[in-house]
Amino acid sequence: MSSQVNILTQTRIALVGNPNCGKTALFNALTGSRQKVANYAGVTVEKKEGAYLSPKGKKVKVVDLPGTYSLRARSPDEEVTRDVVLGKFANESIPDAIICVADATNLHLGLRLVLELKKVGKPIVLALNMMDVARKRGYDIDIKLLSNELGVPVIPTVAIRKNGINELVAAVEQEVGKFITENSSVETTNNQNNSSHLKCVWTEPNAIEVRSYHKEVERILCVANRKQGFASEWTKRLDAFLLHPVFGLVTLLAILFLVFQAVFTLSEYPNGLIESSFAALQGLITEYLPDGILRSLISDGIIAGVGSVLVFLPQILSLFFFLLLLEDTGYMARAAFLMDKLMGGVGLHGRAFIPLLSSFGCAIPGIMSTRTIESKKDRIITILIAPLMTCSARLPVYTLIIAAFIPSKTILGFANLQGLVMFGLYVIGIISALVVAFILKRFFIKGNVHPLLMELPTYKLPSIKNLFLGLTTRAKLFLSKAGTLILALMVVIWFLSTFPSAPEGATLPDIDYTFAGMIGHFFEPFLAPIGFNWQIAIALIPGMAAREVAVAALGTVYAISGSEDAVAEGLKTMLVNAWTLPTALSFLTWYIFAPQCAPTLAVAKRETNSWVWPTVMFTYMFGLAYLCSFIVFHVTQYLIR
Amino acid sequence: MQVKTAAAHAVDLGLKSCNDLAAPQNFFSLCDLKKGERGEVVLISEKQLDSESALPAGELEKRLLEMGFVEGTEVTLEHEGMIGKDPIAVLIRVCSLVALRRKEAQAILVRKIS
Repeated sequence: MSSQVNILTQTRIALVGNPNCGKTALFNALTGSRQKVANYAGVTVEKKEGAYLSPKGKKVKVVDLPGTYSLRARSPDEEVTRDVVLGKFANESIPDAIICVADATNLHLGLRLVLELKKVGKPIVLALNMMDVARKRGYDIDIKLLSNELGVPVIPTVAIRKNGINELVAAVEQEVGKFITENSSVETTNNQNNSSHLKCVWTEPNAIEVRSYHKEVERILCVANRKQGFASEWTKRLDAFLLHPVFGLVTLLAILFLVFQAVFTLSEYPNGLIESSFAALQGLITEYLPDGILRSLISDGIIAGVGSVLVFLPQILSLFFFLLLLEDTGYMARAAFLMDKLMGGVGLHGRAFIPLLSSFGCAIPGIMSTRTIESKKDRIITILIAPLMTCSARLPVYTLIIAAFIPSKTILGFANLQGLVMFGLYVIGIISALVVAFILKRFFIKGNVHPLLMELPTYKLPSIKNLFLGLTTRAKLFLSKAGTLILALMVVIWFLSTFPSAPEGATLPDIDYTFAGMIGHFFEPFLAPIGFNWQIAIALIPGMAAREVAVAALGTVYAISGSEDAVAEGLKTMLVNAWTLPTALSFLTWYIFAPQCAPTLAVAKRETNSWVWPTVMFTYMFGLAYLCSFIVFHVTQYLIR
Repeated sequence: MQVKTAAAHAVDLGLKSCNDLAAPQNFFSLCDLKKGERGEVVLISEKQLDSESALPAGELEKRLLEMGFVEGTEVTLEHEGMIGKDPIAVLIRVCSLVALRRKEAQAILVRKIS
């Protein structure tokens, strides 16, 4: 009876399928923009939920589960899939039906999963995705026969073009309805024979059972697949080059280099626009509000703070755009393949490459996407080094310092010196991450190297809509983070750097008398050996909340302590006058290594379920930052003398 | 039942070839194939591994099976990595390209197809 109540209220459907079968595209096609991603999303790692309206007007909830080859979980990621499907997941009710998504051009593994899922005893509908590609590549699948042989409804779909979605939705509704009538009739008549297929009889299959599943798939395909298609010519041709031992690696490096150059130049235009509009807004406030604490709060605290964070949204979006593009086209797995030996050299799995690459956007989704790494030790090492990858929150800091201290000139005929320095900072981050990983694996967290077993998907043209949905999710996440946490911090900084106000007839700048000044002066002696002044010391403290906050903090500190003219010239010009080159380079170095990000530490705690690893992360990163900044500061000072 | 005997048959066939070193020359470990060479999977067995797998016993066999390395399947070695020609990318039938390391590919015994 309980399931009957369930259908009256809300149906829940789980989307299950192999990795790269177009499951996320189908999820997007089903739910459109009605989806929410809990927390920071890795590509398909996080729990994604959405809803659609059935033809009868009922709201149906859909949950997109991490891709898997079997319900026999091999990683924490796949454990989620297993537990949700079996209804064992805490606070998750068992789904009323399962949509199994299979790639029509790669049916064996998908059908094997269907056979396994049938044992769960829930209604199943098979979405045979990418039917257009399958037809083009000469496959001729008899849907009716396939459905008969499998014993589940089969709906051909082309998720990226929303083909077959209505049929799929109708089939799900029919199956759920049928399941409930059958179930209740079983309950009333107490028919023992009939109830067997309605119960969950799934157990972890052993090797012999996996083999017999494959035999069954083979038999079904012999009947239902009238014509075997051919391999994708494009994928073959592209792989001949992109997976080439030499050209492949060169291309990978070239792609990464181009991405970073593009991120730097593409975002210049919207940045200028945002900068000037915020300056205009500040001007407007100054004109209409009387001089005083309120004007100072709005103009110097809120607008300056939010503006200096928002201005970097274009960079973050353009970087994520490229990361999503690489994932969507199928190149990301190739990158993992090419990097496997290199990662293996420092004792890591090729799969660690994707979390580390995601960490270029933000270490938080990066750390969360380490769930695909099966070995716990490898996972911890990957988590520990992920924050050394240059995340997008460092971009504001890097951009500011580079723009102020590195001349924009073309060298070697094509490369911009600023872009080159930026590239160098990324490279230093990567190299130090590899060195740290090697040392950790060699001396501290010893363990075997786990096998690599990974499908390299057929290349696909990326779907603009899916790219757009992915980008909006990330923009929303960044903005909500920027809008709440950072704004609050900016107001705190404004408070700290405004009160207590300077006494009558003070000769020093006002901020010297405030709380911020006191804190800055307190830390100055510790940071003087690496060339930091007290303004930097102040910026580092709120910078713990998020790296980009440091820029806003520097803005606030300098905007308030400087004269009106200097404020107008902007922070950039300000720094050129206030900092020496060694200080600037030392500051850049600090930001390569320092754990200036409390959310990262929090996520590391959650993902490792212990405070030990965040503490290790914090300590080693601070040690490295202090040491390297010290060296850079003194070497630069010696060189320019 | 019929399916089970088929699998058991494959195991028998493989074990025979493992024990009898002088026997069929055209049986190779997948990791000994050269780029572009084709083979039919004869046996998946962890006994063929050089060194012990980092996984619990039986786990690698199951994973290889789940990825589609099943007895009777046609495989082609398509790509090799730069350093030590490792890892390798193997095309299973015509549809699925799978990356794995040579170390684990040892567990896959193939009969060469020319």
